[in-house]
Amino acid sequence: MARVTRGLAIVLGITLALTGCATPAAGSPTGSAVTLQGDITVYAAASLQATFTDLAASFETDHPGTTVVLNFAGSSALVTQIIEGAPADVFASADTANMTRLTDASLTDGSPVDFATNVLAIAVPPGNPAGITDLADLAGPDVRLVVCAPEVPCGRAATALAATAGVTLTPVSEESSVTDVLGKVTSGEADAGLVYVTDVAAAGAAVEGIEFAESAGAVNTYPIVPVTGSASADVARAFVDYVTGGTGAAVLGAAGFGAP
Amino acid sequence: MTVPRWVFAMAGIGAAFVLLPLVAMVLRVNWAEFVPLISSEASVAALLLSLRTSLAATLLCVIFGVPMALVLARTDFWGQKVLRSLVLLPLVLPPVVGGIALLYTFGRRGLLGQTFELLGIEIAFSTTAVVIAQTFVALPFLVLSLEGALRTVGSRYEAVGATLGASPTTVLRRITLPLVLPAVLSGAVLSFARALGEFGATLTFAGSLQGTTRTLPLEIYLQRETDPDTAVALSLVLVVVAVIIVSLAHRTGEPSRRRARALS
Amino acid sequence: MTFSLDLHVAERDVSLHLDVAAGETVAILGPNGAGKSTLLGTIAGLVTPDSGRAELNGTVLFDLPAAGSGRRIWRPPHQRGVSLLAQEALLFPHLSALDNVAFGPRSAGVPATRARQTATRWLREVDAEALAARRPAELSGGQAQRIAVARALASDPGLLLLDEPLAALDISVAPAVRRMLRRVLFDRSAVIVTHDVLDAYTLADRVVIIEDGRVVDQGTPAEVLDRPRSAFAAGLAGLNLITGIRRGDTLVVADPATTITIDAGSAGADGDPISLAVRPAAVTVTFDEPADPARTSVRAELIDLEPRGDFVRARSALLAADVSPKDAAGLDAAVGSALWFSIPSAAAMVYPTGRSERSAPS
Repeated sequence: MARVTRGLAIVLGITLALTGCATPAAGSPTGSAVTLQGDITVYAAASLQATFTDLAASFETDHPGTTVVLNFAGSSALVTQIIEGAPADVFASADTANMTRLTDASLTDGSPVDFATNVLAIAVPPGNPAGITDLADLAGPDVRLVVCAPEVPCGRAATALAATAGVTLTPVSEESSVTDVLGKVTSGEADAGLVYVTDVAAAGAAVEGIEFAESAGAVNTYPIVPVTGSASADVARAFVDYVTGGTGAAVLGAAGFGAP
Repeated sequence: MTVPRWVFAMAGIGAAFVLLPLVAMVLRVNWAEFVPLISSEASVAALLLSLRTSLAATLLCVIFGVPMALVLARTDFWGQKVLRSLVLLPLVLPPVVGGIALLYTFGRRGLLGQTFELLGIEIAFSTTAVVIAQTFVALPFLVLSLEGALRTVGSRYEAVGATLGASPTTVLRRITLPLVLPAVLSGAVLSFARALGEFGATLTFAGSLQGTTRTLPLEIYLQRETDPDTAVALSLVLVVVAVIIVSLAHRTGEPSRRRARALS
Repeated sequence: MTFSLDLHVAERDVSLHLDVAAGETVAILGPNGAGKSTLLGTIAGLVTPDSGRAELNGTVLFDLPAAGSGRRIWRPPHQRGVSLLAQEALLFPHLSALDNVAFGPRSAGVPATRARQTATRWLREVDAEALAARRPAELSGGQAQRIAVARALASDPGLLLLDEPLAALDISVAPAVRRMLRRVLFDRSAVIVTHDVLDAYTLADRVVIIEDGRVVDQGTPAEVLDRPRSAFAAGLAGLNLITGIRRGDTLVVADPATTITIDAGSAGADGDPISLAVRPAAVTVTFDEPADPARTSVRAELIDLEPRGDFVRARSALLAADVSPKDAAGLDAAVGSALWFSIPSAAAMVYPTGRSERSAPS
């Protein structure tokens, strides 16, 4: 039996090693405030993938000894994970509603800071086969429009926008994420999709973006905050400052985000 | 054979690995709100759509899967082995990949999409697309279980039938199909279960709209964003339906095994 | 002529011709691997030969010219009017006995009610009417085989094929099923493959011996089995077979070199190839040459003694003798030495080796 137990331990050990489950050395604050040192994990909304990847890299360059691990997903999913105990040091949300959930759970270290805004734009397949020019065109009976479901931030924005603009939208599909909306547009299945202007920018040549005046009616605000209980609270705070500072504004602005 | 005790230990860990997440989920169910949560308009629409599309997909699986299994089990031709592997591909393919493949086939700009469009059939964002996605992922289950059953039963009864003057169609109808009926049923039940759980291909290929394409798994995925209670409650419904189906499949599958033993 | 067949399978070196007259039952005997089952499979349409041709009641079952010359005809099994009854009954497990028997008529388009009437008649014919409602799983081996016979006959085949129909049955039920077969095969064109010489005697009008893919002998059961031409047929009939050349009143055997005195009135002229057949039970073994003038004796080495139930078979290279266990005990010490094997002239059958009085096997 002893031999079997040892065999089991070896098997489990190998499994853990292969899956990288072994507990990494936790970010250890040195106690010295002179230089920043430690690892942080940043949970950021999926729409921040490109910008935050850039920002994390330049942050690490500016602060040798720090490591920024990024985790991108829908804001709502991220909040749920953090509330369930996921080891996040910083949370950057794509909307204020989800940030409120974290604040309500008393998991924010200080007040969230708005660092960017985003507005909706119309994404159409290259060549714009349905000839869409503005928001009103999306209500056309033959236009296959794909939006985000009202349960997710981009969908909430779309619903709010349609209400303020007085347009009745009849989408053929309400997707769970921006990626799924863009997927339907790039593949040509849909004639148009309502996504964030930054998503259009990130999609490159795969879609054409059409901006419209009514988009100001539904501006999405992105807040960021350190999460309580971080082992590297100083690094987390520094990263939040970095994003809200000049470098952050420049990188975000280049990607199409608006200033808060 | 006496099962060594350490095998029991390993089996116990394995069973716990499967069962604990279910228990954990059940513990999270908001029982006070359970009935209102699962009887909301969106939930009911998703459940009904799921049942309807899965049933249609199962029917398609039987209509096309039975002939496929027959051809694989009873004929011998060049490239058959390769064909079998390819036909069973959806079993191992990530559903999203399946969805992408279907998109390039039946999508508006896909291989067949334009032909369908000319015929006035629109597949994109329709319930048909859901059924296609479900059939795609569920078909191998029926083909696989039926082909095995056909091989076990063998072709000797069919040969006897032929020498008694029965045409190939009569042999199929009166001998082959009755003999493998339990396998057809259990294969169909498995296909139904797989269709019911289909998510990735549907999400990629069919879209998500209440009452049209938003099946129960898609509804759960969406509700998870804002309303975890509903997501958990619906997950439980799906689990219960799946458990009922799997136990049904086991029950219908048993006679075929008994018969197989009697034959050997 | 009801049925005729020419068959060639190059890979297995099979080259056969077979005729079955109307109402005739032909038994095919041969060692394992002689091609008997291939033969039945080919007639039924379950095995495709390289080349050959078969015709049943004027309908071509198949016509496969050698090397792809000419038009190939291959009638599928269900259009041949040939039923195949195998060793195992192979009743359809999901149908009752009655519906199994009614299967053939139903497949021929007979309405259900009338097909069942026909089936009931055939069940009665095989003494199994009482089993009509039973499922195959509820039947004994003998009962199942009776119903399989009824099923095969109910499809009204132009030719019935039976592949060792009694081989899988319990010894206690085989005789009754054999009697039943004898009754239903009377006046019916049938080919029966068997290992059992009793089947040949009781069921067949004619016996065909196949060895190494060739017909080596054929004739009535009595002709083929009482006066065997081949070691295989002699073995089946349980006879010693000695072949050689007639020289005066002796049979000269080449291997082992021996001369056996035969009756002056025996068949064959001087120099003709002749055969001698004798039952081992009639042969005696003695240490000294018997003085009896009604016996002919051969001196041969006793190779071994093989117990066979209530007698012991004493074998030499030429002859085998069945002796009592008591006599065998006396011979035990003599294994390996030369003894006298003697045959009473009255028990020895001497006949020409060729079978000129019958159509030569083709």
